[in-house]
Amino acid sequence: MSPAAPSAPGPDSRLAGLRRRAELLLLLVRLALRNLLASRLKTLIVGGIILFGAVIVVVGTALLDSIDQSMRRSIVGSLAGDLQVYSSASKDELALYGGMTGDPDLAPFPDYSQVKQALQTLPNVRAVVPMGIAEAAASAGNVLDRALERLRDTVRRQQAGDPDPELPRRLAAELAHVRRIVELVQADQQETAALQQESTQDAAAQADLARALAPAFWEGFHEDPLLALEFLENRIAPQALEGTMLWVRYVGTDPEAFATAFHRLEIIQGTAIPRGQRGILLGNLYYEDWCKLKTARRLDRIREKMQVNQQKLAQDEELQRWARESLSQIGEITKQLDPEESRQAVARLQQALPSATPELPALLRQLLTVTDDNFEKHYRIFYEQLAPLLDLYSVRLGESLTIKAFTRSGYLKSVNVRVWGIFQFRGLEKSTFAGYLSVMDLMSFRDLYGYLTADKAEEIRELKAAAGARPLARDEAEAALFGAPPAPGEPGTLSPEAGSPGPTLLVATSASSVIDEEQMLQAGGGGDRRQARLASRVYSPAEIEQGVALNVAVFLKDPSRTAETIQAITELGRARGLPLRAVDWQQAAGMVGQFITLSRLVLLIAVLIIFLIALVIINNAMVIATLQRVQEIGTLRAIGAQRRLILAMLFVEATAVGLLFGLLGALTGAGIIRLIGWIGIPASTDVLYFFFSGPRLHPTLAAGNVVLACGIVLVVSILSSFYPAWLAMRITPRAAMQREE
Amino acid sequence: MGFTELGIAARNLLAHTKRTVFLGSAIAAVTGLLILLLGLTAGIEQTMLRSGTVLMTGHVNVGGFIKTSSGQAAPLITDYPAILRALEGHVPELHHLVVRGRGFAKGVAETGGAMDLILGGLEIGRETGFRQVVRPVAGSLDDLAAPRTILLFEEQLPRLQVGVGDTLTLSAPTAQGVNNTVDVRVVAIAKSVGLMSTWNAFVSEQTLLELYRLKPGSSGAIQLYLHDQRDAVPVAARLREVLARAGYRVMEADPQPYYMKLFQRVTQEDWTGFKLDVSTWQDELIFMSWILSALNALTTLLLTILGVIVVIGIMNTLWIAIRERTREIGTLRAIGMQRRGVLRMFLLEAGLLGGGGTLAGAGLGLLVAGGINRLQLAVPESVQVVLMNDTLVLAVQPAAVLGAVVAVSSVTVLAAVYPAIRAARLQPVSAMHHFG
Repeated sequence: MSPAAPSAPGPDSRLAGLRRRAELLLLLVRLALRNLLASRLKTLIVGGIILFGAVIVVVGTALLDSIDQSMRRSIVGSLAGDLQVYSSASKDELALYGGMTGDPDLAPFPDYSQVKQALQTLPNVRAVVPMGIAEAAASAGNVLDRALERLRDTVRRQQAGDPDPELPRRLAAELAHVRRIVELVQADQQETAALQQESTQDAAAQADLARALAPAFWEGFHEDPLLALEFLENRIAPQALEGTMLWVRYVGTDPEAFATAFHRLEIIQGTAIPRGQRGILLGNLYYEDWCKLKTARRLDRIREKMQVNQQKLAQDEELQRWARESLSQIGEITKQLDPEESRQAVARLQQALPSATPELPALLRQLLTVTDDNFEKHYRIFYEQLAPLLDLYSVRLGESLTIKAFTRSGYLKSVNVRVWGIFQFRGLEKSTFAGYLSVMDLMSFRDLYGYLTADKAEEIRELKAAAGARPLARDEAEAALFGAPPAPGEPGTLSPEAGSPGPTLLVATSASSVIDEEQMLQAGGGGDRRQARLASRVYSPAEIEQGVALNVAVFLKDPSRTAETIQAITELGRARGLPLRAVDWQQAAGMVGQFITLSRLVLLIAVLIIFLIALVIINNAMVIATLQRVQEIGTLRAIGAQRRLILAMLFVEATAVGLLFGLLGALTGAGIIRLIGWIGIPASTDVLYFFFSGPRLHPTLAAGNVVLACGIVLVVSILSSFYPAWLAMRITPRAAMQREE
Repeated sequence: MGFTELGIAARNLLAHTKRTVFLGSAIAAVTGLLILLLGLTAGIEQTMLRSGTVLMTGHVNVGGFIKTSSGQAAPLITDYPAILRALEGHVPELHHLVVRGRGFAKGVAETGGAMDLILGGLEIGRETGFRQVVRPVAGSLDDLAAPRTILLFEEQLPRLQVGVGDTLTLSAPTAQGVNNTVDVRVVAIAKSVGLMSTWNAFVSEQTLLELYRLKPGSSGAIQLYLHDQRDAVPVAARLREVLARAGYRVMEADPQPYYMKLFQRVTQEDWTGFKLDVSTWQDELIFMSWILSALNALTTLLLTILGVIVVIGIMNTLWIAIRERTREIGTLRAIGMQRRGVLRMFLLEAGLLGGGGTLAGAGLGLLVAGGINRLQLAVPESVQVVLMNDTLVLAVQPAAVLGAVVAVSSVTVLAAVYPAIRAARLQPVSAMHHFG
């Protein structure tokens, strides 16, 4: 501590100096420890506050890091990639999950292949995936559609001479079911007319319905079943209003490239979208939450809450409400069943429950009246006995989904896409970020996205200086004219037009746009056929890539060099004249990303406040302790201790307390996190579910959390010893003696 | 005697200036913080209530659903004059009521801008509270009386790129499942009233009926505004009974906004026809409640931690002070002060310290809050979602200030109880023998 000895510096004296310093330090530490032990109470109190602070820092930062990480994993692994690139000409900033006024307004890349090619020249880029994200209304068939489909199937089997002895009975049951639904349609319409005070039905539709309700129609059904079916499908089914309306959020992309780059993706039902074809893959969580029979889904969720969160039906109001809602939706189940199936359901339920009630609704009511005691049993009965008779999902694999979206110019466009499969991301099964997204082919996306305004399109055309649009339009028109439409009543004969990729210089968007406009003009059966033809068309990679994409996900070989690569992409864009703007995942996530930053900020402020108050209190305690030791310090000074020594002594004391209790606190915090990590924090509300990316958060500890905590408390304890140390330094031997009296 | 003790306590505090200042400032900081946090929560609640109850809900709403088939539902009430007659005389708390249409449509401008809008259908002539909150920056609210007109908020302009006089096409699916469009003229642009005006727009009732192809007499909901919004829950319960007695089918209370009921519940339910649904403003705005509860949780947690630190600090200080003053206590006891007196003296000291500290803290909190409100600090989008506002507003209520002062002072006094008891237990003789 003291400066070098006045004698000439030599090796001996230097060594002696070192030794003296070491001795001094040892003395200081011993003095400090003695003092700390002597005033144990003060040490414990100051130490307690420090310990408490360290625990809070460790637990708080570890929790936040874990939430941050689980969100990052969900977002990067399911949609964002390491980087997102979009056009710098965009009006809004990219927000993968939308902002407050909906999805951002992005200027599209008119030709994705140029962007892809440019990005691939960068050494750190591993993969690029084209994207376009949007949300639209989708509808699948209604109950009548489905019943008719089954009836048609049975009729066809009968006509093909199927020898199954059960067939006539099946047919009768299905006919009865369809007839019952048609009656319901009429009842519904009467209700509508009475309540809405406006007759919206045209006379023809009412005449059709009257015809379908007449006994003569059903008696004559067998004379020409196919004609009768066609009548029901075309004239009656559209009058049944209750086709399920869904909101679907999709990313239009090259499904193959998407699945390769987002390697966690796994198809759990159905198949992937075949290369170059149109179609959609639904996210499993979305499929479960929105397409599943609500009663079944509620049972699942009640079970999840009971098992994962140990919630009890008897105590939890939300669970009770779910259970009650199922009771008011029994009709959703009964109307799916034809008389034959109803009989089976009654028999099964009577046996399983057990019950003697002959009425299906009463049996279902009994089944769905759940308590903590019978829940498991009823859940099993529902899935083992009842579910096989039901369509559990309103959208089925292989079925086509009609997606209606407003294009950029405000026209309503609809596209039929086949549901090929259901997928999820491994490890992110419960994350709503990952699980609510569906994957659609890029062609359908472009159709739904529509053209830009006429002048924008003109601008792009000029920019590209490639006259691709016209020849293509002609090509499509020719195909529409001369392409062989399938014979009516013969579905399934469509063959993919593989091997006819068309001119490779196509701009696919213009093709789609032409078709859609035509389709809007003639919304008749011709449009349906064209849709069917479109659905089976196979596009070449060139067609897919040389068109519009809104944003591009970029995967890096070395994700730690993100900032560098963002820079490189910006420079690349400038060099090549492409309007490229690259952002990291957090920025790409828009508001969601900001939320993470915000919660970090809130924690930081909270920690700051806590330590500010702690600083005052510790300081206070130390000042008092110092004042108590006036005599002692005065004595020390009297026997020759320098002011510096006193200062050093107090600092060593503060450091020792900070280190000891800080470490202890950090260890306690680490222990708490370990414990919580082992048990998991249940997500008691949907909001927490969202933040935790699942039903439970299992926080993990990083070395950084502990280091940070120790660092902060050490700084705080040293800072808080400044003032008392300064006070102590000023104590003179005389003052100390005087106080003794 | 009380004054003597008070005097002694005050003298003691003054004698130890440094300690008093330190401890007092800690107490003041905690009080100030408490007041600011409470002000923040109240500010959010106030904004929510103000913009929410003008834009989306009344204090109590009588809405309803029509199920034209068992799978199709619309948020409509029919023949609302009859419902109004049924309500008459049953709501003495009523300030005023309005009838609002409910709708949801895509708005598309000629410029190519488009966005989803939640539509309110209103008869501007009958709206009173609306004019006090929604202030036009361009155009005039009165023009909303004309058919096929719309009022937009300024936040929607960058997206839609329209001005007063321009045309906007609204497109929405009707109850028949067909899409219908109506062209409307923008007659007014209003100043933002917080987050909710981002996606709300208002059209004349007539326009909404036209868009949904409905006949007059249908609307979305009757919104009742009460003198005191705290009466909402009992009034809603009473109205449920009144309406049921009048022969309406009334849905059971469910704390969800109407559109959640529509999508999640009503569509799948077995009944068809018409049911009324009485809801409160808390139900309709429940999607915001998680923000308040999260904020409350954070406030509680933070204050608990700070409370513990302060209590430890106070106990520690008093403890040491008592040791320091053992001889003084001995002397006081020797000259006749009772144990109770000693106890009272120390508690008084803590009380004075607490009172002074909290009052200083309250003053500081009020100053900071006033400063923040005056600055009109703009906040980023993610914070706006939490604050329900585009600037930071702290609503410091007198009751909250008083509560904070009383709470923190009591904690201070309570923390002093144990050390004070210890001091009171000292024997005069041993205390006088004690050295320093």
